[in-house]
Amino acid sequence: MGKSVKEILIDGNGYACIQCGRCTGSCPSGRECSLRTRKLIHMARMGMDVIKTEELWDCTTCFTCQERCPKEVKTTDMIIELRNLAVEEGYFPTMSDVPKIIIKSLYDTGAGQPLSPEVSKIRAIIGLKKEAYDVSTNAETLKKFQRLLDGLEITKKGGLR
Amino acid sequence: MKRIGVFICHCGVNISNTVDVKKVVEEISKIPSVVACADYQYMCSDPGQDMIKKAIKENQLDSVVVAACSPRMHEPTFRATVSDAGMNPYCFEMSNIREQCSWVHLDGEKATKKAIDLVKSSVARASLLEPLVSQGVPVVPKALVIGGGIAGIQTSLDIANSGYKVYLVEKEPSIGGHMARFDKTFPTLDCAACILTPKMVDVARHPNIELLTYSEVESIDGSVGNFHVRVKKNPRYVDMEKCTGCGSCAEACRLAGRIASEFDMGLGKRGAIYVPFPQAVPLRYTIDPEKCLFLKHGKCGTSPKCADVCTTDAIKFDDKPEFVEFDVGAIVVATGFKEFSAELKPEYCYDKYPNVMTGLELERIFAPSGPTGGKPKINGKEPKRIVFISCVGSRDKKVGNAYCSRVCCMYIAKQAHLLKEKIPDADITVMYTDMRAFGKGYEEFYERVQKEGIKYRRGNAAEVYGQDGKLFVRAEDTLLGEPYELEADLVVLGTGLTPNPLAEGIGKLLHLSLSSDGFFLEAHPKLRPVDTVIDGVFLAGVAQGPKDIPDTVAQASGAASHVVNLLSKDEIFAEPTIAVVDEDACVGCKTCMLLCPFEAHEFDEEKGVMKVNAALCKGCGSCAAACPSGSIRMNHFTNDQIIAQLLEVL
Ligand SMILES: Cc1cc2nc3c(=O)[nH]c(=O)nc-3n(C[C@H](O)[C@H](O)[C@H](O)COP(=O)(O)OP(=O)(O)OC[C@H]3O[C@@H](n4cnc5c(N)ncnc54)[C@H](O)[C@@H]3O)c2cc1C
Ligand code: SF4
Ligand code: SF4
Repeated sequence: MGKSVKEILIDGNGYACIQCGRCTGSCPSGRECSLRTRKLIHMARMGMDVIKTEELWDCTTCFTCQERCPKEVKTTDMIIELRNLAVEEGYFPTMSDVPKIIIKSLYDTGAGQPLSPEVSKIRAIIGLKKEAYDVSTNAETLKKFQRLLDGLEITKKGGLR
Repeated sequence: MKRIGVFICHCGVNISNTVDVKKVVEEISKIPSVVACADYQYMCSDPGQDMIKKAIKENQLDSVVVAACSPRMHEPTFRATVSDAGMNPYCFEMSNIREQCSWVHLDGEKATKKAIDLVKSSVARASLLEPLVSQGVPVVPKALVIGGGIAGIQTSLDIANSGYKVYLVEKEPSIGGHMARFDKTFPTLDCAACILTPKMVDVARHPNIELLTYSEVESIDGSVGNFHVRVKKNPRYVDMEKCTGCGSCAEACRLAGRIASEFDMGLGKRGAIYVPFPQAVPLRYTIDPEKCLFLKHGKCGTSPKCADVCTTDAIKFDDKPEFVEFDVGAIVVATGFKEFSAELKPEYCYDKYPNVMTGLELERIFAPSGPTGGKPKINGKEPKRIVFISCVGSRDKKVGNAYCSRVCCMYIAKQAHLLKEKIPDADITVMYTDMRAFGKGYEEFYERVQKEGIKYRRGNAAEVYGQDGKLFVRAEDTLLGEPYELEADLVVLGTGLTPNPLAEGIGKLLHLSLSSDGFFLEAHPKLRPVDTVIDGVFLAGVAQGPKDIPDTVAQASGAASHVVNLLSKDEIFAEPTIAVVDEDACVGCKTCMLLCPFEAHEFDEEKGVMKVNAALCKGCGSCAAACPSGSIRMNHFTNDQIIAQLLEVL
């Protein structure tokens, strides 16, 4: 079992938050979507269903907010931990399927973000092999990797098993 | 065998709710040396004290133990009580069965057992207590005030008006401190100079005040009642007696208008010979030795212009530092603050853009004597879109300042008002974390500026950035839950107040402690806010922690009253609970001398042993614990007394 929301808040110094909003104001992601970092902290503290919110998954974990927070609240660390808790409790974002897509891709190809043809081209230009040097290029290793994943809860919760 | 009386207090129900007081009395009465033992609802009340006095007389007691609250609360009360009944106050012992027992335990039975042990250990100690006598020392009826801001000015005037001599030492060429830089003061919008300069002039004219400007305290020896002070007067290269303050020299100086003025926060310019501001006290010119061509290179054109034009022959290039020494009975530290260094918050780009400025810089823009003559011009233009950012360097653990600076919310309101008054069509937004308008008339002022059209948007600024020659501020409006950005012609950083690095040396000289915020620590946060733990040393103004001018003045007067209280005594009595050296056992290794935080140990060259200065020793015991030959004895905390006490609880 992972941490509870309260434990995440305590470890992440969340009770020090003064709701100044410097995190949201700094957030490059929030400028484009409905992510309000400050609000996530508020919801968590008020005992609201923060792990069910879709915005939790809009963070790119760039750490700008955590770097700027004047109260040393570990905003990004907390978002990551809240996501872990969300998955544990079975809450995958419905609006955005990105996490599921990533898990599926990881399972199928061995890479969360498989190389696109564009990237392969660039690799060739700078003198790298077209494919990556990882499980994705070796069918046998990929099988072993999939067997490993089969043993994990996450593949079940991600709807693969 | 000593005859001991023990008195157990119920403290209303604070103790008796948990501790079975009757049971304690029963057990303690069994100790052979305890010849009187009783309990009472409130031992500290008059009937409670009378009970102790009566018992002392009737039973010819040698020592008294009261088991009640912390000795920090009532030890002085009961010492006085036993004194009244003819007993030496140091034969009194207090056992704390409230804070250290009833308040912290839930199990009544165990708490009662602990209370019995605690009282037994006090009885064991009480049977070894010895009478001690305080030594009286005469008091020098003069005071030293360090720092000539509004705090130091007020303290000095109050002490001087009570008839005592004051030495006021200020590091800068003029007194006035930060307040002298302001145009108006919140919330009344009093003209700062109109209320400050009369006080500055009073200081200069007061027969009881000796003003030492452009000076530094070099050393302080001695202790309460008898400090010996040495002050260095830095050379001004201008004869203070001859200079009339006419200012011809400053106009003539080859470097006139070419050196950044510290007083104007670098926004205005001065020459190598200058006064910081026109109402300076004393109005005497000073040559900056770092800049003056003649002092640096021995040559200034064909001849130094300042000397050429001075009609009173006041320029004195061969001036030397002077040292003055004097004795005082009390000291007030009023060394103020330093504005937070805005470059420590790189996301606000203070270093990068000239139209990002600090609160103190903007104060100079408003001042009629300031760099723009009081006109609100930034880079020659009137700003129309203005953003204030609050809490810059305050409530910010990233830069190590956890505290609120207490004045920025209000000075931002003041500055926003002044800008609006001067530029009626300006669009002014204040980005704030929380609004703190706690003082008299402050909330009303906050309301007033909003009526004037200042926009308050909750949520503090995340960053300032420039693009295509324009300046933008990004923030979240936390009430709307929406991030937004504003273009600005001027961004004002509401910089906080930080401990003054210029005061560090003073703190070391006086052995003052700092609180976690870095300001000087008062003796008690509630009940002794102007005292320090060093007897005879007091605090006034922001040196003790951020505060506005009304609070600074109140504290300054408070410090003055404590000084006057002390100076009005012919003699003061130091606590006799100090270290005493056994001269026969001491080998003069000086271990104690290195350890003592109060520098109370001196080496007696003649006898080859250590001596303790009774007036300096605070009885902390560091030396006694460390002495390799065990030749230091702590009065009232002797090894025998402590061991007897420990054996009862082990
Ligand atoms: C931008 C700004 C605007 C403000 N506006 C207002 C306002 O409108 N109304 C209001 O009530 N408050 C205002 N304040 C707060 C106000 O500045 C302080 O309350 C006040 O200045 C405190 O006075 P002080 O004497 O304690 O400290 P200071 O003014 O800092 O004076 C300390 C003095 O001690 C001297 N000194 C320091 N170290 C030494 C040393 N080692 N030896 C000798 N001398 C030394 C310094 O040179 C200085 O002259 C404002 C503060 C700021 C930053
Ligand atoms: S920046 Fe920090 S203190 Fe401010 S709202 Fe965000 S988490 Fe809270
Ligand atoms: S770490 Fe996430 S929440 Fe924080 S600023 Fe980056 S994207 Fe926004």
